[in-house]
Amino acid sequence: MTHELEPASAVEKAAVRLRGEGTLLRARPQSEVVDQLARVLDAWRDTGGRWQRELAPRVAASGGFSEAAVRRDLSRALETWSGDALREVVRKELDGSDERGHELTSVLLAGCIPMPTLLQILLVLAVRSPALVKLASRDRVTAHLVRDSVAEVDVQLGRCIEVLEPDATREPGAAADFFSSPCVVANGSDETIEAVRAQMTDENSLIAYGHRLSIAVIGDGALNEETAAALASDVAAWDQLGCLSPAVAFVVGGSDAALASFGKSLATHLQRLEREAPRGKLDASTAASIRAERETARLRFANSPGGLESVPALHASAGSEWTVVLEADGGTEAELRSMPLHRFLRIQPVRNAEALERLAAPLTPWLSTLAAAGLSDTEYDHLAALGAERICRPGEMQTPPLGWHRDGLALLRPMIS
Amino acid sequence: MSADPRRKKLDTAVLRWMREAASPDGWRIDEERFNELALEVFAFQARHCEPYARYCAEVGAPKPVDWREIPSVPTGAFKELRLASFDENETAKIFRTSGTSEGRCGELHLDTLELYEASLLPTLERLLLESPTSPGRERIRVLAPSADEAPDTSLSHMFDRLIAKHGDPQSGFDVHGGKLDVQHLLENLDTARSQNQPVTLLGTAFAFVHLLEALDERGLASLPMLPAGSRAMETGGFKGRSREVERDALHSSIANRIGFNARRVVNQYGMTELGSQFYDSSMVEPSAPVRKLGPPWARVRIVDPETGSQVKPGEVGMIAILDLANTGSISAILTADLGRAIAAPGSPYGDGFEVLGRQPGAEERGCSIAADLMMGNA
Repeated sequence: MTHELEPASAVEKAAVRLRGEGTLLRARPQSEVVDQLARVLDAWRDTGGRWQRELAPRVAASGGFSEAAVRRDLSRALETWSGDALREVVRKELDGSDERGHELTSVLLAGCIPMPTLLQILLVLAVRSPALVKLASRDRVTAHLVRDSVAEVDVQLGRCIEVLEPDATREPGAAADFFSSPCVVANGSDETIEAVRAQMTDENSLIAYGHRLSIAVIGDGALNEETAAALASDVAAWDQLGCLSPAVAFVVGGSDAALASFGKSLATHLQRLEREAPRGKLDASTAASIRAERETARLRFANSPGGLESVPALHASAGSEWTVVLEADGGTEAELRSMPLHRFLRIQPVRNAEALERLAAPLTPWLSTLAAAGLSDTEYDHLAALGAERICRPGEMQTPPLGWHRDGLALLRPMIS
Repeated sequence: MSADPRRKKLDTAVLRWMREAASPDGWRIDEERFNELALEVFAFQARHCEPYARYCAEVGAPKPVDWREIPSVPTGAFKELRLASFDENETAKIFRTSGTSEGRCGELHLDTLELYEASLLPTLERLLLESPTSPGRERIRVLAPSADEAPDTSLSHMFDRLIAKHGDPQSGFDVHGGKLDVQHLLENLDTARSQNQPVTLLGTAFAFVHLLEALDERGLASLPMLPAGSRAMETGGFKGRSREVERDALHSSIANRIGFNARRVVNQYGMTELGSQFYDSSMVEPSAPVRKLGPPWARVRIVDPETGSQVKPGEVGMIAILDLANTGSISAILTADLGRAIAAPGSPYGDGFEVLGRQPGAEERGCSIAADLMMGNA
């Protein structure tokens, strides 16, 4: 009796090739590999360099951003992501040990923000594991450029990256091949992560980065021009689509006059950013959501005691480009409202930190970063109860340090075999 | 009719149109009549509904000369404010939307049900029941709770009125205490088959999905065909999903598994905030392009979400509806649904529109869960 063998999927072929290349990689000294990757990162960090220049227009086209915005956001995000920062991460997490990653690591990418793609591929290589990378449908660019940038510095390291198209796992058996790697790094929605988890066995491990959201909390002492400019910058970064983008800003205390002025300043800075780094294209559904939210706010506020002149207030561009909805303090009746993102920020005043804790409670399971300014020590204590993974200043939300433990996970240690 | 003497003339005019439409040749698209009434209704509402008046002042709308210039209120506003053109103590009925994760329900306040019913019945008769000639003859089963069980649900009220007028003695509701009584429904369908009595099966999309799942659980791949003339109508959305694909699949399952002719499974597009509803044209114009049709006293325009202006024919935009049945509330409503106008030159039912799901390219871009979370999809 003869058996006809199933033809190998493209994924399996790539995996087989990578495992072979991985044997060479695992034999290389850790310091040598990390030094090469540090050179790659430094090349990426160069604002006028090849990689940022090549990536910006292509990510803009595929992700729906404006090129100017991508250039701005890339250079800001990469500013502190130096080769030395990578060496420091390796030193801290591996502490001079010669530990290695798995013989193969699959990386499932998501969304169109390039930063996680760049970092995750480099980190997999840093633990001397080859990377089998599946592209996200909205970013078919970054991973290819990362591979090219690695190959330019170190040909063998470059051969340790295989980039698969988003539909590569549709081939019969291909998804099983992809998820059978001993280590899988998955990015995506809760639904995606659950689907990946269902494919895992006792033999392989999953490192999951789910979707999150972030918020800003501003005390009355920081209701000023500087904070408004910084917060506007956070809102504009990656068109507010990142999990580190502020979905909503809470203001603790503050007079109506200070709030109104802050709202206007924020609007002014968003308008400035729209000129300098315009928001990208919107699909009609999102534009419709923004219009519906704006008009609902307009109707609510037109019927509030003070009208639309002070607090509450609606500031918005002529099109859907940016929106600031300055809500009234609803006291115990206050509720969170829709957050359409795409440079749409709701400012929700709260009387005190207790009120903030109550109002923000539904967000805490997903809370990633919290930008805070102008708060008292007691108010900071209340913030701790929200359980944010990272607290930073306004303006720094989308520029986490390289070594930040996203989703509370160490960067390298979970990938060690 | 409203007890408010200030609205009597308006209500009378709108009711006259609705009653004419109930006669065999009274279904007439009349642009001039619509425009005139729409402007009168607007003038009344802008004067007597204070929140709307303030909104109109805020948006700086000039005095309209065409119904398309009347400021539309977003459906979300019905969750925020009492949008009624009569005193609160005159309220006869409040219909409520189902809640969302934001915890608020939209409310339609009515001081009379006369216009509401005068609108829904001729529309159902014309666009779904294909102009029935005699009352009390249709076998109507409903996959929703009765109006007694869900008194503030407009859909239950609508089905209740339909059964009251057109249902035969074996018509009724098959959701009790929040549960679909599958056994009872299947027995009813069997009886209809044995009597060769066509069935009209109505319900929410979710209820039909539950029925199909119940058939799975019973190992029933498909039921025998129902008698000729049977029809099914589902209503309600698929939150956050690709509406068109799922709706097509649902209609196909309803037809193939419950036993309907595929052309006689239709969708109703309606919302609590409106007194009128829209139906797929396939029942009345089976060979014409499928589009949503409403009564002559409700008109739709498709607006650009960026500018608020009407889009060019065939372009995608937000669905804005002006419904004269809403005299006691607000007639001009802006939905957050996307749609596209579909022309039907020469049709006695006029042009229509289609309701669209998510747009191509709207797939996942970022990693923030914020938008999904507040839409209840997380």
